[in-house]
Amino acid sequence: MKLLISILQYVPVTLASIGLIIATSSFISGLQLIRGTSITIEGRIHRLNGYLSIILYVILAVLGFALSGISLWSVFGWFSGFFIILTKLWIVKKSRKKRRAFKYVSWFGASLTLMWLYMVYIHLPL
Amino acid sequence: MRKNILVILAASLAFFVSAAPVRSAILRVPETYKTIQSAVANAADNDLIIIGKGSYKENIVIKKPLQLRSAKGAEATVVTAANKAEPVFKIDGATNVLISGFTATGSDTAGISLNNATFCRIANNILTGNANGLMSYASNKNTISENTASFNAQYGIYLETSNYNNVSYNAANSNGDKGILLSSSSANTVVGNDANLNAWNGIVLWASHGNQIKENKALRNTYAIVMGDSDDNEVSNNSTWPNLFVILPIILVYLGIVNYLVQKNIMKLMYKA
Repeated sequence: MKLLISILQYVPVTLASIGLIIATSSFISGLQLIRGTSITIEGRIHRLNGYLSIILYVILAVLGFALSGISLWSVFGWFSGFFIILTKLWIVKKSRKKRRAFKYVSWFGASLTLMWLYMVYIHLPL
Repeated sequence: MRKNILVILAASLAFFVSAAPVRSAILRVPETYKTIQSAVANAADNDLIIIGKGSYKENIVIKKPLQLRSAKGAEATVVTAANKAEPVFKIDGATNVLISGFTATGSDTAGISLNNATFCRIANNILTGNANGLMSYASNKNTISENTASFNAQYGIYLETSNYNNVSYNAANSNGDKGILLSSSSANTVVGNDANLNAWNGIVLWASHGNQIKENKALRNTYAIVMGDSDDNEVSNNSTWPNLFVILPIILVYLGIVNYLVQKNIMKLMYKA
């Protein structure tokens, strides 16, 4: 059991690392989307990476609660991250009708990349 | 002649008896004594008290040289403070005391407190859920090693006017204020400790001089190692910000860019086909 827990403690840093790679790819493709070059391909890359990163985020949150327990700060932290993700998705949906909303999308994309950077940082084993 | 031989034999016997080491008695809790404190009260100097596994609710005060060991290790031998205002274990003015293999918890003062103690050894204990894990006041030449002093409200290990102590290979993590604090304490050796994830500082030296702070890890604290009004301290080979923390994110962002380019080319090929 102890061995399993010790192995599982290294899984989150691996998942967070993959998450950061995917979030970076998603962010670049998102910037290309705003510039409007080859929208179809960029859009597919952006959507694929975006949904993959959400799945990874949920897995990491569940693993975090399972390994470290549920505390007020951990719930607050994970839900804050999820709120950023949902807000970004909402703005993307909105921006299909209102072009002006695009300018906020890049800021949220950058926030998501920074969020993944932080996730890698907090999961690095000491 | 015969009388002389007998006198010599008697003298030799007396010499060997007096020169032989004093054998310490072994006292057992809870088999012989119900509480640890009653065993301490009934023990003679240098006796060994072995405490069986279980939970004990006591405040233990030690005023003579004794050895207190748990039979089954710290995780199986939990001592909770009966009176929260007092430490779980208190060494008061004693020398050559050993406390090894206990979990000490539930004190608003400290898990283990050393007060005017010398040549004591505190090892392999878990000190958690107290105001301070280990507190040493005016205590010199003690060894504090391989303890876990984590998740305490204030400090993990706190030395106040304590000199020539050896604080080595302890874990003082996730405490509410500081991991290891040396205040007005000089010529101590602080080696190989982990002081990570503390709310404020990892290791702090305040008005403390001539200490050796070597090979410690102080990661993810607000500040790693802090010194104030302290001179002639040797601070070397401590880990406060490992290269991994800088290199790994850079590599991952680079891989993210490569991943994007690879995905783009794959998509192009797919849609051309």
